[in-house]
Amino acid sequence: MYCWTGTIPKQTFQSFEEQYGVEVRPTFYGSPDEALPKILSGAIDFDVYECSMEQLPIAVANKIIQPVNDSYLSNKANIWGALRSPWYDAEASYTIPGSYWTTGIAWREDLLPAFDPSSFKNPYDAYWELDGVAGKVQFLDYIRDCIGMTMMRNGVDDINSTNQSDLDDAVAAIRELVQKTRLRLSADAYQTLAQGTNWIEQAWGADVYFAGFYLPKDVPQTVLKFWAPQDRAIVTSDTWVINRKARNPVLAHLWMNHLLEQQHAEKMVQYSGLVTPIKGMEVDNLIANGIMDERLLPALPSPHQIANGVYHAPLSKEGETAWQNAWLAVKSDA
Amino acid sequence: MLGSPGIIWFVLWVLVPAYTIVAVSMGYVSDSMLPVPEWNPLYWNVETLTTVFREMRPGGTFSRVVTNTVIYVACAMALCVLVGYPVAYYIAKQAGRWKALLIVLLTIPFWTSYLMRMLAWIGLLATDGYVNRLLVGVGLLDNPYGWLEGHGFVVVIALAYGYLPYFILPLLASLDRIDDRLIDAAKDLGMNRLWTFLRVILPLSAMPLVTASTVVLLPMCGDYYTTTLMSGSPSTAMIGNQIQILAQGGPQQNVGASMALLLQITLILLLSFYLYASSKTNRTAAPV
Repeated sequence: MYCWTGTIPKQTFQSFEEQYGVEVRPTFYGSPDEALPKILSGAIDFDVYECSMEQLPIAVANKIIQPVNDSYLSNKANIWGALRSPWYDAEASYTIPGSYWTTGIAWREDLLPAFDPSSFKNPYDAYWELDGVAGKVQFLDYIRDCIGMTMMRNGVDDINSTNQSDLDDAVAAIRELVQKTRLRLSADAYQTLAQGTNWIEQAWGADVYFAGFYLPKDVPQTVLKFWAPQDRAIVTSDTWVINRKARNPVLAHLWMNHLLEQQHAEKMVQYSGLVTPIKGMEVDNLIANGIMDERLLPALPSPHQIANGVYHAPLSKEGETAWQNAWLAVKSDA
Repeated sequence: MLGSPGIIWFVLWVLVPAYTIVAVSMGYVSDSMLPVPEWNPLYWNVETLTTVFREMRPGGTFSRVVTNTVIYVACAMALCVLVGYPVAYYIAKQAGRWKALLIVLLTIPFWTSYLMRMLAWIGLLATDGYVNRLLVGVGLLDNPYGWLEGHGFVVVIALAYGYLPYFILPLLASLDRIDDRLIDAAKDLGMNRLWTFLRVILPLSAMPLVTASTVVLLPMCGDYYTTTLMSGSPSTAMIGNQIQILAQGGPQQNVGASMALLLQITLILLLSFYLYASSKTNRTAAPV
């Protein structure tokens, strides 16, 4: 099994092992960018892989993965209706949905008491407009999130645009922010927000959940705030896929089926703050049933946000090159 | 025969990887975004390499990271010399019966990985970390200072701290070999401590300093995680950060390999200078 680090709780592995009398050997990756070259080169011998949706066409085109056999996926009926045939995989022929999350603005209310994203015409402008936050601002150290959100701030509708002027404008905007705030790029948003190193960050909703565990004891968790729009939120998702050369293809299907059970999805959201889009996992249910705290309502992706979100789509090789050049310019402040 | 394990090791883990970097640099990246190395030198395409070289020069895309790398490494090396030389000299020549204990103490940082030591610094330098608590507590600062908020000098201090043990140990070993009779002779001939240091000890320390500097220069130049952890700001990025982005995956892995190759060539040139200077010194010092 090749999956994100920190997304699957130990109990989920254990319950699968006990149910089927097998041993699960997970290998973890730190980011999809790290995982893809290993998948493509065959360096990882996996049965089942947690694949980000923008990598899916590459995995199919390179004949890395195989179509799923629905007869093993009895829990497929649990998946939210709109995602039974998602935009990235018609009829869900290769995938089952993994976890969903939104990318938005996280901040510490005690350190920025007057801040309200909705008071800005374009809330993503907040990073550029706020005064007195030099050294206290951070963006995610992920190319698609960082540049994509900056494009939205610049008024570009398509967060997957490969138009050179859109990319140049995004780079210029981020440089401006580096000049103004000494912007940091990092993936530890949950930690730096909790420690007070940063006051406002681009973050994933799950970061606000994790940050609760890192807060000093005398600081209430209610100071951790998150905002993502109801419409056109940046939504990201992983999917589960099976290796075309899987040695245990039936078990791979059974693992997928296992994840589509509500009890395991509940454990996963409590472990990682990520939502599996199956019946019973609607945000209102999670809060009403005491699975998640009410303060996390804005940080958990709702079915509406998932249905009306914007997604990172696959890019052509030329598009990837243009994005990577923009990212190099961002990362070197050149 | 005895040298065969070393030769096999060298071929497998030095020459083959180095040649692979060259082959990837001279090859291309497929539409599936996998590097296609060009193993045959007859078909090498040097265009990527020359483009990267152009972009590393002033005004180029990579000039900022090159400048940062040169400045940070130079400053960190200077700090290593300022802090490490007196320590190494004291242990080698002055510590007496405490020498063994001090050497053991010097190796303590090696018990923990470099990465873990850097992570520990994050705890120390965080806004609510011990350093700020101490400085605010004794009244040196009114408010906690943002050490981790993208400052180049913090990267320099962290580099120097991280690599200092690797600097001191070879320096100590070399200084230990300086013949004490030469120092005694200088004193017998009427030199005071300062002149003895300037005219005898310092010239004899030159090659040990170059050796120790070489040991830390090579990894410092390719370092990327120190600035990532201690700053995270694009304004303090080093060459290693760019190589990491490019080499990790994507459509320009040949560009990443070209950057790594140019860095290697630069370091090989510096190492060649060291070997030349070293052999020259040995020839000069050799008995007639």
